[in-house]
Amino acid sequence: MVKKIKNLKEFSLSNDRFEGANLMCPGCSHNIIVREVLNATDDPIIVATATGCLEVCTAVYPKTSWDVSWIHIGFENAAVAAATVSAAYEVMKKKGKLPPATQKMVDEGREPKIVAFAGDGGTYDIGFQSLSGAFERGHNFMYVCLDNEVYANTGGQRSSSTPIGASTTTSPAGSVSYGEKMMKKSMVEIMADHGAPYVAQVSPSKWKDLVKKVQKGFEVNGPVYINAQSACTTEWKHAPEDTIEVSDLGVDSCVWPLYEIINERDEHGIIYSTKLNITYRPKKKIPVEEYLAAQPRFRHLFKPENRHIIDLWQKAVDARWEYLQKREEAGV
Amino acid sequence: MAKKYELNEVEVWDGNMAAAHALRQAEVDILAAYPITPSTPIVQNYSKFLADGYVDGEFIMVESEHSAMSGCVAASAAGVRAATATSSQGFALMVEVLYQASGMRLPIVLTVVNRALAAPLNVNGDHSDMYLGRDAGWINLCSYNPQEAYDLTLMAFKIGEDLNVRLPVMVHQDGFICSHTAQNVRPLQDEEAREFIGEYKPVNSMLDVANPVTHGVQTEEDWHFEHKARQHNDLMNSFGTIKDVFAEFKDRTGREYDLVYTYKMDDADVAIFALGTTVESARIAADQMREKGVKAGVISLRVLRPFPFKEIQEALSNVKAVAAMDRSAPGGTFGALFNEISAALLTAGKRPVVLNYIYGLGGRDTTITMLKEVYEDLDKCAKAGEPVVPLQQFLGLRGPKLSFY
Amino acid sequence: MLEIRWHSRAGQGAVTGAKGLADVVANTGKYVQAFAFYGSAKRGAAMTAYNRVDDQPILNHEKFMRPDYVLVIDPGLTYTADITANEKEDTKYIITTHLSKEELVKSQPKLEGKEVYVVDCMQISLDTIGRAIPNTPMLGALMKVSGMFELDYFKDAMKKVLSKFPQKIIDANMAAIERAYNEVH
Ligand SMILES: Cc1ncc(C[n+]2csc(CCOP(=O)(O)OP(=O)(O)O)c2C)c(N)n1
Ligand code: SF4
Ligand SMILES: [Mg+2]
Repeated sequence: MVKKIKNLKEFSLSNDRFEGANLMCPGCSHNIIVREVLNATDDPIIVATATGCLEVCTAVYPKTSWDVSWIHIGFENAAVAAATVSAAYEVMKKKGKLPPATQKMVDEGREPKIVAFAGDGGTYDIGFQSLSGAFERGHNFMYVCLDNEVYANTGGQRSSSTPIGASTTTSPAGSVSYGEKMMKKSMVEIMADHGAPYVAQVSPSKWKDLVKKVQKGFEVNGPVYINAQSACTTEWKHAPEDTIEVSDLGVDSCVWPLYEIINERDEHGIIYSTKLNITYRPKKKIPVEEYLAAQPRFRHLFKPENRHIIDLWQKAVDARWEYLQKREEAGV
Repeated sequence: MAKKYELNEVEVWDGNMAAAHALRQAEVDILAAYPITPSTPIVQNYSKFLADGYVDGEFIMVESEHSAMSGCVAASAAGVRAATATSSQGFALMVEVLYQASGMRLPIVLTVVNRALAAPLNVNGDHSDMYLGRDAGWINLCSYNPQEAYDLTLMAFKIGEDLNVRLPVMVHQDGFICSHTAQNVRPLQDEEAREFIGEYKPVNSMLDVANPVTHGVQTEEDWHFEHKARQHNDLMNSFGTIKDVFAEFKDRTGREYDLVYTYKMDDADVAIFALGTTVESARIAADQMREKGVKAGVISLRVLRPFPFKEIQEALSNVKAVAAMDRSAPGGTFGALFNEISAALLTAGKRPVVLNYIYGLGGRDTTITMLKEVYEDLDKCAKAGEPVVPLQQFLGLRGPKLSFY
Repeated sequence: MLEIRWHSRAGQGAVTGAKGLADVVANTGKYVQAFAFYGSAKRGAAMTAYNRVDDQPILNHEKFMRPDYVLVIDPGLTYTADITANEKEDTKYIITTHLSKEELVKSQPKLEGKEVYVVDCMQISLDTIGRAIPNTPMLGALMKVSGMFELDYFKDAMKKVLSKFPQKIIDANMAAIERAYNEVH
């Protein structure tokens, strides 16, 4: 059942199933994203979470921040955890053996939504195998990557989501290094290429866009991938109160474009249509430099010897923005 | 050429920093690793060394521990020096490849910062991961403080790479209690360390394309057994090399290592047999017991694998009661130390009382007071000449006492 | 053996403080230990750090400690953390606060009758270093109260420990140490 949301005030006050006063840093985006996803529906939700900041800060015995069914197994298997819960749900539904309360909700048209949350480490890196398998098998669940471009929980090591030039604790800037050497992996396209019916990139600062995409994702049948920008005050090293501003800079510079990819399949599973829609177009595309300048993890790039990396960044962002626009235009 | 790192005669390093410097000084060619608490600072420190020009080799931060160890295997087979670091879940994820590393006779060095295994998730120190890898065919060296973590990591390369050995080596240190505790460490200077370890001697290098070799073959019932027997034989016979390396290290530094570690065991009636940092805390407890007239001693393994069976028989030949302290959940039997010590004693025809204590799981503090309680138990049994307390007890557990047999 | 417990919040630099002290002490030929307890909580969570100092190699690895000094570097922890845990009869407390000693003891009756020293490390670090990292001023206060080292000797030794940092930061830290040394009472 799609929830109607009138305005931000009402949205932020809606039935909370996730306690925001947990052990995460003040100003953490993970908190905001999880609340936005959970508040996007009034249907029951079942959550699987990978090891990472979100998990270690919200489920420390004897307390829990979750008022939904929730599981954490390990770091590399959130996708298979959620996918298998989904499979179990399907089996019990077919057998007519769902718990009565759940059955009642289902009868009312309120099917449980099964959501996995994992960090970029748990998604792009160690959990990728599990994620890829679960998507290929086509389970009905939503996978949300809380992408702060770093292993925050263990103290800020690089991941394959870390963008070039970022100083992390395993790709530190130093007298002979400008920090991370590799470009960020294009996870959204990779997941779309698994044939998933719905894949999207979101930012917590553009909450309406985020909620709309999550609601769309809940409506389709099959695996859904949502890549959420998650500014991390501790590892990006901006002030906690600047989280939303930094997120906006990401979106308005097109470093973090907001878009969706929809794959439509026929009854044999053959994809007959792929569409990419850009869902937010900045009125004025700001220079990438402004985004980088707002985050001390990039501070060293402003030294003369590293300036070329900023130019590279701008080129890469422009090229990508161009690519997305072309795809949208061509309807592929 | 890497820059020389200026080191003081005495540094204040935690176990992770100590291990990181040893890896740097060993001039590892490929360090493939994945972060996990509490071993993460080893790879962080190492990458900082690299970023500042102190490392010539490559650091590859892979996407999982499975790949970290797989990368080490490939690098080592390619004929270069390879090393990594991990803990707990990461160690568990590596297990498949640990067997491949030893079976392929590759002298990889793995620094293990010991931590509990989930569930429940816990980042603190116990020996669950150490015990999990016990039978993987690696040489296992055990440290009790940051200085030893440093020393043994340097020695690990020299031991594993010896052509008579050619086996991978793990160096264990306690999570947090050693890895995150800064203490005085006397390092070797870079050139001294380099000289001590020596150049890497590649064997069957894949990079030697003129002499192609096949690594990682399949052997069925025709040859598998012989391979494994040979591997066991060489592991059992590595004692000689280990002792030689310990001796050479003593010549250079004055710091002495032995297969079995003993403290006041010459005249001890009762002894605590532990691993890790607890060994040193137990020394304090033993001294306090001696003030009360109980002849207490401490014994430990410096080398967990190969297991120094004979040396243990000797070291325990006069004790009346010994406590095997296992810092890992035994999962339905006695702790592994208890079983292995009992076997050594029984075959020597000695029958002191052997007690088993499960302690310190998930980082639960092990206090001097607790260790003295163990000595009190041992003292009672020694005087009675038989067990007068349960054979297996949980030490420092809250709630009702838990014991078996 | 001298034993010290720090009460701080993650990110305020207690671990760095404990480590800095250990570095200085090790240079005098003594043996040291510096460690901390870590949990899952992120920035801002209450935590403790520890030092042991001795003339002999330190073998004790228990976390349990009966501290000679308790250093509280976050004002709020005086009320929310168990700062008197495992105290001895003569445990000395150095507490970051803007209150006077009398006001402080009144606001936290647990400190009644204890040897308490106060110093506003928060304000000092904001004034000198420009950020709320109260660890170095606390070390200045500890030097005064314990008489462990002369101020000048300690400052010189800390300069070496901080040698990686730009001169401006070293100077600011020196100013913080000196002010806390003079202001603690
Ligand atoms: C097999 C295994 N390896 C390593 C770890 C240690 N570990 C826990 S969380 C984490 C990083 C999490 O990063 P990410 O997925 O990006 O989540 P974040 O904390 O940034 O939200 C690591 C390396 C683990 N728990 N299990
Ligand atoms: S480290 Fe970053 S991701 Fe983790 S809780 Fe803090 S702000 Fe959030
Ligand atoms: Mg992350």
